[in-house]
Amino acid sequence: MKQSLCTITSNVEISPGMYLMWIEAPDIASISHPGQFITVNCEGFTLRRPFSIHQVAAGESKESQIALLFKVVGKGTFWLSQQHSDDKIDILGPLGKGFTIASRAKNLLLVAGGIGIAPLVFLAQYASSQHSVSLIQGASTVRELYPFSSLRPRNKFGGSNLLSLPTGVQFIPVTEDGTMGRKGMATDILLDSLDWADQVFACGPIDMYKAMAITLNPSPSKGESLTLPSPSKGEGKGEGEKRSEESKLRKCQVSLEVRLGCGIGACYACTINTKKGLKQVCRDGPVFELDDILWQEVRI
Amino acid sequence: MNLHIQLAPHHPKGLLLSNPVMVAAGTFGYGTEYADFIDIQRLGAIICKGTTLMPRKGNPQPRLVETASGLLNSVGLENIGVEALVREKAPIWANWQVPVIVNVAGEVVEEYVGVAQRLEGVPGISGIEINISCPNISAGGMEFGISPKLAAEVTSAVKNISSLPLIIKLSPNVTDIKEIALAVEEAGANAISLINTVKGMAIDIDKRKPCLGNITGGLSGPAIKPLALYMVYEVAKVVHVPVIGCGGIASSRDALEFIMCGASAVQIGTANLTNPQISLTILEGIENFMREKGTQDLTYLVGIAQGKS
Repeated sequence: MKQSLCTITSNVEISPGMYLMWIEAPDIASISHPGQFITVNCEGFTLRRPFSIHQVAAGESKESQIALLFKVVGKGTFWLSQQHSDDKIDILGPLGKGFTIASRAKNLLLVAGGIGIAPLVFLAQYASSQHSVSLIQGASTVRELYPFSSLRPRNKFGGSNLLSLPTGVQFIPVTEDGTMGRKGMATDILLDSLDWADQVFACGPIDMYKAMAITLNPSPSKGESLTLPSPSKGEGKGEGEKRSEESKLRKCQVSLEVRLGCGIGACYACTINTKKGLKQVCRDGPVFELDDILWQEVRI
Repeated sequence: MNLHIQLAPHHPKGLLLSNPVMVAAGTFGYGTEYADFIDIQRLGAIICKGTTLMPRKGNPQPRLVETASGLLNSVGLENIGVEALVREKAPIWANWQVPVIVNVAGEVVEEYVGVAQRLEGVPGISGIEINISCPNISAGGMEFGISPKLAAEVTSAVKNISSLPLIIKLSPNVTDIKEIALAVEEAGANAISLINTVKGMAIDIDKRKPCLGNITGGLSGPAIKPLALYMVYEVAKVVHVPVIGCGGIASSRDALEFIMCGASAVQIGTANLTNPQISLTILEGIENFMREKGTQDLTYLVGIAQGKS
């Protein structure tokens, strides 16, 4: 973790209202893990704004740049959208605990709701050399989808710094208005891929997680037969290695977004209650297991 | 140049700070969280998260709303409780140079006393700050800070059983803050810190309901600085114990304003969230100011603006 004044190398509006910003931040880039975030001191605002690390890229010798993907949704993101290359910004990071890929997982299913694709592109980039990765993105319409260069090579917002899909990553777009890919929500097609997936990673709005939690647990009750396959300890209590769809979702990791104060676990502004007790989203998360969150209590 | 400040001159142990820049309760965790970003040992003192007898869960989300030049919070004193503090945090503090002061909160007088008793003789704790000003809990807290009688009662109850220097943190949500300050001074406070947050709220007009899960919260940040400064000015005029200024300090100029109004030290709160390095930047700014103006001793500046027009 480090706080540093970093130079913006580019800031491009890649879709209407959606920006891709590259920042020279070697101290952060070299130690960042997918799912972690940074905070930016947006001039004139009391609270720093958190952003998932969207990509890291190599400089001359090592990973030296980080990218942020953000939508202008308020005053802080508007300020950030107005910054130009060579401007300096105050960045703190990398913060929090990111996604964890299980050692035996081969097929990874990534589920993005809208701008929630930001950390999942980093995860896809990170995992694609060792794993098969499918990336579902749900958006209201085609313009809200991530403009992978291979999908939209020549739109007016296109820039040279768009990401091409890493080899081995399958991109599955879903739009609510059917303007690209299947018509519907990301969660509608989630079940289709669960058989294939060894692990699921998601980032999107709370309602998407709640829909996933319902898929996982339509009628919550105690004494269900669903138990996670325990790592083979040879205790053999007859708890079957049942790799049901539900148990996969139980192992689903989601990235939560709440209003953060300090970003480092000091102010207790972002605390949520989980099955494992009170957790600070900024320090213990932002990535949590879907099944650990008490969704009925979540009001964020 | 001498920046040392004695915050408890009449206390047997005293509370000597190497400089006047402290960090305020609730914004700096237990100190350890910031160790990656700044050299915390250079701070005048660290005031830890408000601590109660038992752990507290705090208030429902959302707990924060940014407002014009400020911040509303309703964290609600979520904390690990005094037992865990003594077991897990104090041993770390015992190896630090920087004094750590424990902010103590409660719902009833006995709770304040219970926490203070548990802190007795624990290495690593240099003082107690009694929080009679938290606006975010339903019982206790600020209730004690708005009545001179109750404020004095808590102060003397803790004073009777504690051998640690005692700071009382006052609420601005009162008609006459001087009255409260005089009452706690009389009851044995070694120093007085002010102000805690100003009670406030915000509405989400799209959802047609309050922004905070707790409905109301405490306003902090630059928005409250002039208010805090005035209250420090008023209190410093009438009390004889050291006054610690707090409220919206975000630069060394802000800190110097408080010092010149009569504060012997300052607490940096919300600004830590904006910039984790701000407290040391403020300290350096004060040093530069003294160097430029040829001020040898910080105490010369304390209250220098009092009584001038």
